[in-house]
Amino acid sequence: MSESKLWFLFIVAALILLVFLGIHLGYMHLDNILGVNDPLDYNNVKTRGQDTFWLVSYLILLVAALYHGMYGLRTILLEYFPQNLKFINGLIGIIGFLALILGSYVVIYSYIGG
Amino acid sequence: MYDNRLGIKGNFYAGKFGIERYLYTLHRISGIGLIIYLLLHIVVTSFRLGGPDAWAKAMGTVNNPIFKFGEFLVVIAGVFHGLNGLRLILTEFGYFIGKPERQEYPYKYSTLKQRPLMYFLMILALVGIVISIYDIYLA
Repeated sequence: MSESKLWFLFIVAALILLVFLGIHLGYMHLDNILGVNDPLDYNNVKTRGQDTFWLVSYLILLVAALYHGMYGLRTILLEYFPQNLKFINGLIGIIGFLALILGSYVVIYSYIGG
Repeated sequence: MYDNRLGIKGNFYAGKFGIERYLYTLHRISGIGLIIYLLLHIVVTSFRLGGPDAWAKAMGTVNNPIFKFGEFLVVIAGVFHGLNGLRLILTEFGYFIGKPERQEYPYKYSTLKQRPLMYFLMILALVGIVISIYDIYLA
């Protein structure tokens, strides 16, 4: 894919994050103000994991955040080490891919009742 | 790929550039912090696969002052990065920087035109951070 398309997707991911990360951070961190019952309690984590809204939002967050973050990290690394394009692409690709696999496995496993 | 002649130093010395240049540095630092946190977050939350005991143990490990402070930094970084990023996207698409016009003395540059947006979003970020602190101490 061309560099400008990758960059455009990075911006699209940013806009998605503004909405979905806003919801996620608000829910998890403003729990007292919003009256959310201990969001880190295992049973609450489990209940959320089996809810279709959270399943979809976690998957969207995972893809958008990993893409945006790894692309951003790649930009910074390339600026300081412009000669290492292939190595940086490989490193970013592998870390992003592994994180995506682990994250989506946890989210889907939780949804189907694990 | 262009040569970043100023290197790392260029991130910390704005020279004739304005406050937005320092926001750029903060945007990068907060971005690096957030991506590191995201990767850790994916690993830590995967402990839920081990059931209630493994989850309780993982949450127990991160429930100490150092991690709590780190989490607090993540919230600050997230709020700042999100709102500053919104500014970058809006100006990238040409909003809040005015239309091209013939320059007459005293010269106005686009940075000045987008500055009110910058102040507005940074005040919003501050409000978001204060609300987050309030929520933490409300517990």
